[in-house]
Amino acid sequence: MPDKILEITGVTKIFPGVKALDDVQFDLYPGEIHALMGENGAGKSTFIKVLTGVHQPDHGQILMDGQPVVMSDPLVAQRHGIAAIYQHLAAYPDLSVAENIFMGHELLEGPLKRINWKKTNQMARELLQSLGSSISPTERMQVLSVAQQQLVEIAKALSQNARVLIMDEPTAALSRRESEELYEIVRKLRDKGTSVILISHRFEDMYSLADRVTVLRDAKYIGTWPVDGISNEQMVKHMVGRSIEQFFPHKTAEVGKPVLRLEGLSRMGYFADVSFTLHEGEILGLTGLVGAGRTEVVEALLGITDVSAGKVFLHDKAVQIKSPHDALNLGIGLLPEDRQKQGLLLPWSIGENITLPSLDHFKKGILMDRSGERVEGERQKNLLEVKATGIDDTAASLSGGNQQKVVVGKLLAGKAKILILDEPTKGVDVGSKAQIYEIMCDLAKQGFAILMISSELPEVINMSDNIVVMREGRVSTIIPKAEATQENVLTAAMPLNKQA
Amino acid sequence: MQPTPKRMPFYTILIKYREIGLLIIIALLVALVGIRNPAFVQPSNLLFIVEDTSIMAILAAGMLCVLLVGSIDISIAGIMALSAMVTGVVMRTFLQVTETTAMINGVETVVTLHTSLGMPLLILIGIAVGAVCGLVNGALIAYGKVLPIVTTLGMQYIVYGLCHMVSDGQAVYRKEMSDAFVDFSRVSFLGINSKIWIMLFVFVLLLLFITYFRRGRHLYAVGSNVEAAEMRGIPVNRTIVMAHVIMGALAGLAGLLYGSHDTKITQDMAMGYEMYVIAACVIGGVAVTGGSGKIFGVLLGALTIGVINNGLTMMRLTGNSEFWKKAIQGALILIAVVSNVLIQRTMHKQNLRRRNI
Repeated sequence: MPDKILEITGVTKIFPGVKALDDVQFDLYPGEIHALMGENGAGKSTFIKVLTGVHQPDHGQILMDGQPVVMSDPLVAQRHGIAAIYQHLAAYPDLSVAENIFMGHELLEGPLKRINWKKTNQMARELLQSLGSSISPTERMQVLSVAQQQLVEIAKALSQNARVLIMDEPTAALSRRESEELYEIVRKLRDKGTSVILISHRFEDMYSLADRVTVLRDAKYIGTWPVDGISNEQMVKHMVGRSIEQFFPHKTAEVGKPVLRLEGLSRMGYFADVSFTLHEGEILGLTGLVGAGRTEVVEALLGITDVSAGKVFLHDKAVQIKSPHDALNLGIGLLPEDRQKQGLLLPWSIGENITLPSLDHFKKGILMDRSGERVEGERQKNLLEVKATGIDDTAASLSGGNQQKVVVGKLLAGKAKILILDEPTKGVDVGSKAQIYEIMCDLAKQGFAILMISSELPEVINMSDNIVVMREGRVSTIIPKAEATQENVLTAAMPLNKQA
Repeated sequence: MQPTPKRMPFYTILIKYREIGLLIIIALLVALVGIRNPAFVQPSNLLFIVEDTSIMAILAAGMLCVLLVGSIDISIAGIMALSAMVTGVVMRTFLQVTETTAMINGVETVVTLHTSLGMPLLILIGIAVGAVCGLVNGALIAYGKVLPIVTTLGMQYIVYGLCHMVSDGQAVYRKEMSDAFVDFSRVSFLGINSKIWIMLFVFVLLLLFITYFRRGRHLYAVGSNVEAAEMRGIPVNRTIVMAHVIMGALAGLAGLLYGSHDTKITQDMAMGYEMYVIAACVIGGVAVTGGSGKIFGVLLGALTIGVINNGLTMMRLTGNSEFWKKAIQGALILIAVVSNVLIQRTMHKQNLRRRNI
């Protein structure tokens, strides 16, 4: 066995109020592909940021080639040969492709250290061609599709001749063929001695590439196994902390009459011809890969952005929704993906947050009915079992899961009958996750219609009555629960192979 | 992956080189005024417009750097005044007036000569004062995390105040200036005024800097995506400071030219000038949100405003009413900005269409 290139022991990172990493260990051999798995919020992203010098750990040690190193900033990490492809594209939209690739390590010439644009463009073209892409290096980044931008990100990491390459969800936006090509590139890199840390939600990626896998859950290290010695079920159990059967509640609500119907909804450049129907008591899953247009559909539905074509029917009546306020008046409430930014006023109390969208219901003449507000706030808090000392606690003091419940309470107080939940369990701890699922089933039973946007396949498959799968801005198929499997949902979500 | 189109349709050319659109606007404006007053289109007048615009253009070049990193500087008029005033006071202190007689047209005439410190030293002083102001702005914004508009608004008051202090309330007039300083904005080379040469020098230098040097490209990176720049290890704060120092130094230079051109340096010199400069940048296609903007666009933006200003005078539409002139000027600037926004929106739509969803 050769010596480890990278070894991490006892790394802990604390953000105000949250332990993002708790005593995590990891090791990597030269020429090894080591997968890092875990649910959203398990600490994978923080782990990368610690390793690339963006964050400094509070405890713990990083050894490279057996020597302790301090990644005090990203340049130090780069000098140690660590390069990362981030999950959220770290692109400069206004600059050219070539410049995106070489920003930070420009190709210079002469005593004046002039940027050699000719060489930059040429090398960028070669790098992209080695990835099987014909993107022009002088094209501006913002005109590229998400998949193309992802390729540029990969070229960017390759351009640094990294010894340790971190790939955070590299295939998330790629088609099957593009993924296969990427696997081939990664294998080639490995054969040249590059070590790869692979982070992916797709088990497929892990099984076809990785030698070993390390699992994180709730910021903690769970274990490391050789990939061919661990089954799919075992992996899920390690990642989720319990088996799937125990995890998802049994939904008893019957699917009733249709309440919301979309007909050919389109927004130029984002999605086209989206049609589906949402029924009373139904949980309708809306899924797809990054950039498939799920969030954009919902934003248009709620009147946050304009649509270029199509109609929305509510109880068989065509409606015009110009703003989220209109939507709420019609009984459509949104639980946004980023609850801290879009869903809550963090410095406000739980009670004030709950009644904010429905203040019209709490009027006494021209004054506010403060006590009525408190009663409603208290009622929702108890209904949803928000863990807090009282409704006067600030929203900021709650955990992710309990914050999510407050946002749900907000929607219920607003008398919404149609709930749109955008990634309702993202960044929520496992215990609260199960509770949120129970609340969803409960609400469905009370006759609420729920549209759940989610990228987590187990959640989509186990919670939805029907699954709308989007691909490249269009609805690729609608799968009923009985027929849904990981495979057919994923296949429907994968981009069709396009000719380059 | 999109196949590259074989032939570029006209609108994509217009989108790629949107400066062409601006050139058309300028040409239209010039033609319009020319119809009413043919004197306007005389080469000498057109050259005069460029000369008249050069100070604004120099400032706009600096403003480009600041806007690129996502910042703004509204203290530039004050910085111009302070730089000019400090230089003026130094010049006044070292002033020597000598009288000689010379034969002019066969008549013996008394000639008064004003000399002071050498011009290179004076220019250095002016630029240094501006650069220091820019440094303070940049440091407060980058390291103090104070909003740029607040920082530079405060700076504007401070520098105008300092201007009053250093001059003891005494403006610097022609008789206290060295002849070299007065000539600074007046001499010609190859029939072209020095201000135009200086402007061209500044633009070429900056063009090279932001095209071929990594520090220059970092201006774009920081304004385009701060987070990505940070993850890449680009010195974000230093880049912001650098942008403000460039702006300050150019404001210092512009202040000297302004003082020389007016042959007087007052405590309220150039007040309100920053708005023209920012407008020039916006018309030139610089995004106030940072990360995007071309130096050629800035030059054209400044020229557009120059043509509007000069054209309004030449059209004599408004009699001598300064108020009307200002109002029409404002409206035209607004029209230029709005049409630019519309072009940008069309461009965005075209990009979306190309995604082919």
